Amino acid sequence: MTDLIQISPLSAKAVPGLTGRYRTERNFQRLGRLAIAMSLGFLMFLIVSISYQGVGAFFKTEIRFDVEPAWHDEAAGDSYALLRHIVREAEPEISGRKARRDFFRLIGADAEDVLRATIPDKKFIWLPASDDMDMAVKADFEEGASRLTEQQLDWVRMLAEEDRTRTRFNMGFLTNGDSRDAERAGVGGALIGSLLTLVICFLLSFFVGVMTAVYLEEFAAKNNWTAFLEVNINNLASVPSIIFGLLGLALFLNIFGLPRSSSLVGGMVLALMTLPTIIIASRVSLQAIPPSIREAALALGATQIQMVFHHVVPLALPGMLTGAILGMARALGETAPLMMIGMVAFIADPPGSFTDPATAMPVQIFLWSDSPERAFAEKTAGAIIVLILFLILMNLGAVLLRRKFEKKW
Amino acid sequence: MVEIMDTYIEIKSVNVMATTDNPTPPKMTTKNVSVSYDNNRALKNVHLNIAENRVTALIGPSGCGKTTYLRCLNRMNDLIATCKVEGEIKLGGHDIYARDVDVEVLRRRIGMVFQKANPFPKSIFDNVAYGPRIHGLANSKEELDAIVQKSLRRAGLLDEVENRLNASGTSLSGGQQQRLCIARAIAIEPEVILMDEPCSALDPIATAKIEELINELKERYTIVIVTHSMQQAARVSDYTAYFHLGELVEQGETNRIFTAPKNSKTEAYITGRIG
Ligand SMILES: Nc1ncnc2c1ncn2[C@@H]1O[C@H](COP(=O)(O)OP(=O)(O)OP(=O)(O)O)[C@@H](O)[C@H]1O
Ligand SMILES: [Mg+2]
Repeated sequence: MTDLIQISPLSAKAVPGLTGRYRTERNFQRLGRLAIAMSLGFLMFLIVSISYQGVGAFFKTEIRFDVEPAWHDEAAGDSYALLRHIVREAEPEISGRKARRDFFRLIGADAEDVLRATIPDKKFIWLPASDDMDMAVKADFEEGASRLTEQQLDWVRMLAEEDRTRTRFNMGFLTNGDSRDAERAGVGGALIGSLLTLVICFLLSFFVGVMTAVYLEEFAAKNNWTAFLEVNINNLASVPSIIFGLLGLALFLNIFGLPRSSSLVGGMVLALMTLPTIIIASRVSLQAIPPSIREAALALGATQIQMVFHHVVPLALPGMLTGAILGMARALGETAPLMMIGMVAFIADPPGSFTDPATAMPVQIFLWSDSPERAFAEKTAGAIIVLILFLILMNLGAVLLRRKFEKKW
Repeated sequence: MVEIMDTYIEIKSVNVMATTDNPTPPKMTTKNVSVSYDNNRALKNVHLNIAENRVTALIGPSGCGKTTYLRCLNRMNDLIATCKVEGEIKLGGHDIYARDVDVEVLRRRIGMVFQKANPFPKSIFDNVAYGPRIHGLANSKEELDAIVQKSLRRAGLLDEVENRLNASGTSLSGGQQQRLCIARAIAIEPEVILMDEPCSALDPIATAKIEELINELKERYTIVIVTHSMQQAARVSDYTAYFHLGELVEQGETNRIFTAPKNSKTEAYITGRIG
């Protein structure tokens, strides 16, 4: 028995201090993994809780009623009368004003819209349920989960037992504008508003930002004046967005008299905010282009402009686009500056042009989160899901664009 | 001792004859050229003539100013804000630092191949076609094709890349990239080609190819080449200039420089004692 264990001269133990160095390295890697796990955990928590709350917004409950073509003629285009007729025929045992009124509360405010749009030769018709009934069905008729009375809940259970309820994808949530009725409210208007705003924001900030960066990086003399400009651009990038909103309010609305609440002004304000980000990202990607490429072009007798636009800018474009899309993604989630220029108003119709009053996704989320109805809580989470999907789509676009433009080195 | 001194003096007089009775007229002349970066003198009072249709080699220890000198000849030093060039440099009798000189016109006539191959990250074809395109040397696609083919052939690269002209220039091997850069430089038919250690990263075979190419090119072009290889200077050049710490120590016919250097520093360098 010997305690002299032979250590190979090639092992780490043979070199003093090496095991310690390896330990530090391992600990560092562990810390890195822990950080990643934590950030992934937070992200998962956010996504799971939002999905759990919001997925219902994409579905709606419908009730089936029998209908006869003759009733359409009787109603003579009065869809409210037709609706009453249908309900009276379907539920003859519900009598008395109050009971009938209570039953009517189970039918969505948009049922009339559906009736108006149906062809009168159907034997039966699926009418949207009200938000209260919708919530009760989604919560599995749990007591207190909705504002329905005991009596109303019984009716809903009966409808379900008779197989007269079904759950359908709620297309209206994606296409409708805002509404006071939760059944009708959708993110379509806000989505279009956001899209129009982003288009303006991109058109203004990308080209101006890229040209500014190209000029500062490639043409401007490097002196105190450009250094001063650089400091100011960096400062602008960190100015709180609400300040840009105030600037937009004072400048675009009050002085230029542009239409209030419009996506045009919203885009202009967001462009102001995004511009410094794009300039900085573009300058960084221009700086990353090796000088050897510039020298190669100049040595062939290319002018400065030819060198920049034939070689440097195409190579820097992926980085510029990434910076721009990151800036746009931030702009997409901006609420405060849009509120300053009046995009916070209740707007029911999706905007048809850049000058129409519009709202944007984050503002819509803010508005709904303030509503007392339970159905709007679900809508809020649903709108957040749509916003996140939109962001993922944009970032995916950024990756694809980068792939497309990236040159093999 | 005395004997050695005598031969030394003799050789010296022969050398003076050789440089002054230069049979070929100078393509470029540089008189009293001094270059400084900030306040750091990199070149001091260099007088050197570049003979037409000949290869002139610039040799000397690292940091002696060879690249600096070379970059004065096509005004690439203009790109370095701290770099100040004094003296007189003429191409075909015209001062290249004169006020009305357009650097693009100058660089179209004086091409350059860099120490590190720097193809554009574009296709092989576009790499070579870029110069002719910006200078409008081809009136049609066919003419451009012809120029590209000819340049690649003269750079000894055509056989290797003929069927993949659309592949990226950066996908080539190091030696092929360097020959691509040479093809790109000669595609615009410059009068002078400056080469800064074109073979420094290449194996002997690729080096031999490029040396062969230089031999062919000198029939039509004036070539200035910087090299760290004495053998290469001896093999490819007609004239050699030896730089040391920013000064032009000695210049003359390559044969003479290598067989009978007149300056002890030159001798020490070419025999491998310094540098
Ligand atoms: N861009 C620059 N800025 C400042 N100093 C420079 C610059 N380029 C070169 N120098 C200086 O000028 C001197 C000559 O450099 P140069 O590059 O001409 O040497 P070289 O002979 O080409 O050397 P090598 O054989 O290593 O390439 C060196 O002292 C170097 O430090
Ligand atoms: Mg050098």
